[in-house]
Amino acid sequence: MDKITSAQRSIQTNRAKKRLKQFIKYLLIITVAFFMLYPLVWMMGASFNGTLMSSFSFIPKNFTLVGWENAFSAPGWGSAEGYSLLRAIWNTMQYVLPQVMFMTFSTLLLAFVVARMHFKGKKIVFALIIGTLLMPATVFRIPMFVFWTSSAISPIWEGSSLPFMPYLPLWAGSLFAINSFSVFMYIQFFRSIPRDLDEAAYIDGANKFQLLYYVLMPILKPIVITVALLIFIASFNDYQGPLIYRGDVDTYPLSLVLPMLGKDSTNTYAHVFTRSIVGVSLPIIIFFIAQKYFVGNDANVGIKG
Amino acid sequence: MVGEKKWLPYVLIIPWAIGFVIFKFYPFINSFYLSLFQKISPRETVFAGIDNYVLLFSSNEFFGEQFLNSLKVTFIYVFFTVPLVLVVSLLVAYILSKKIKGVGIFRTAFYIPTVLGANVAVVLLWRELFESYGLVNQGLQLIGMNPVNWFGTASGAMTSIIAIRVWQFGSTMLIFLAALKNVPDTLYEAATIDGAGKVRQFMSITIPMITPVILFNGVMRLVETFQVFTGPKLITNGGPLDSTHVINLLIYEVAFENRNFNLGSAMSWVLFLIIMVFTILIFRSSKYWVYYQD
Repeated sequence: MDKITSAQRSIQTNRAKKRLKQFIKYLLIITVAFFMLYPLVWMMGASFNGTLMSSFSFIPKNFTLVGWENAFSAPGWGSAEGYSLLRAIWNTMQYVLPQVMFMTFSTLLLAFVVARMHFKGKKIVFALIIGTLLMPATVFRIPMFVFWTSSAISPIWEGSSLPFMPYLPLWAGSLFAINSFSVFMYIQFFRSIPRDLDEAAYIDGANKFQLLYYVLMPILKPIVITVALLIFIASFNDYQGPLIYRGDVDTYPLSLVLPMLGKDSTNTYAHVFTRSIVGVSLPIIIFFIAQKYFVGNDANVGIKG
Repeated sequence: MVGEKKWLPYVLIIPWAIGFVIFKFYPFINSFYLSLFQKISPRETVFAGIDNYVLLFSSNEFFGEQFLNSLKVTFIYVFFTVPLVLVVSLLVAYILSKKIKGVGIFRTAFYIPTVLGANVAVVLLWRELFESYGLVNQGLQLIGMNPVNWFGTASGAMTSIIAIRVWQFGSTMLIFLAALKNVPDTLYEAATIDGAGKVRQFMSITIPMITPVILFNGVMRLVETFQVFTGPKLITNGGPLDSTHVINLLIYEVAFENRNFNLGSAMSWVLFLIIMVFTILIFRSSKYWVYYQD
């Protein structure tokens, strides 16, 4: 047998140390991942659980499909209690969709103007955008409610039978690029794009809009999708807004319908958690579709080509 | 630029300018204006100067007592939540920034609670988890600890609403992750040659290099957590004994349930001033601890 030299021995102990370090790293990160995801896995299991008591294990003790059947079988996924998940999802979409569509592009245009055009007062505009970035939304909320419910304005939206309109107070701001955070994110991204591209496009005879649409848009794609995704999530999850501007019960979005439907004599855990899963399924699906473009997922997003 | 239209940028910012006046400037001024009046009947208000503000800070009045309590509760919430979110997200981002297999899967796993955490369905799930027979207590019993009456004690209820926010550290983590990747490898290499260990490197290279991002994340989370609403409303509804009755919940009740816009506006102005003072103090202090490369 060969004699192991001291150098070889030290290499071996070093390897063992490295392996231990690797092990600790993975153990730590998997433990954190477990705590992060277990509540959601458990909710999945609980939606199939027929027993009244909950347990730590996510595997249902008494397998049942009653919750899922109930959630989807009644007309419009409704039920005897008069709610309808399908209607609640549509109601939610009536302020999420305009919000995502208008805010994504109105803030992009504003950021383009501030980042790439020269005009007097640009510094003031930028200062106002950054200044409102840190302003608490709470301070605007009461006067805006007074504004929307004033006798001159409220007929436009309150109790309106048109689609989207009953939720006007929740999405009107998106027409005017008032989300400072989106503007800020776009401006930061514009700054990472070399101005040489602009110059080259101008020399080729492009105007501002052609520059934005044909030259910058392909580069901006990841940030546009990221901003749209963040607006979607924030708007979909919003609770206080829909709560303040709520109308009749049949105009309630998901965030107001779900808290009304707790556990009671007819609704078991299975019912409650099935509805919760339906309630969160849309943002999850959208997140996974948009994920590969998500800026944070590739921290070194550079400029290709 | 030849032929550049000077008026174009002004035309393009008109929508924003209109929006700024309607949605920011007008409500900001009007909020203060409203706070100077007092409601004397459902339809009547009278000018009262700073009386609303005096009322909010007199502990022998009902609203004063409520308001001072909500301030205390909000401070407790913020002072635990913000540092916890920053520490957890920085540590996880640090591990993920090292060479690790399946980094994409972990990043997604850590971001999912952020996508869903504020959703009402998940907030309601949280309430079930902390029930007396809920998942959390079942877990505690598994490892041999006594179950806790989460919603029966002030500290238990506060823990449950802090936990749901700390659980959503995903976006803070992603910002840290991007910053960590921008720390040049040469610094670590030089430190390794000089014999500095991993902990020393983290404290003396990593932390100083990302202080601008710590500042950014800290301020953003501070402004956000001072305005927490959904958790305290749906998980604890302010209880027990107002121990999670945060300021935004009180403003909601006063302004939108009792229709007292004047007192509600005064409260939101105090909240605004508190957030502003903290933000200014943090920015002022930043020259002592934030390191800018250029």
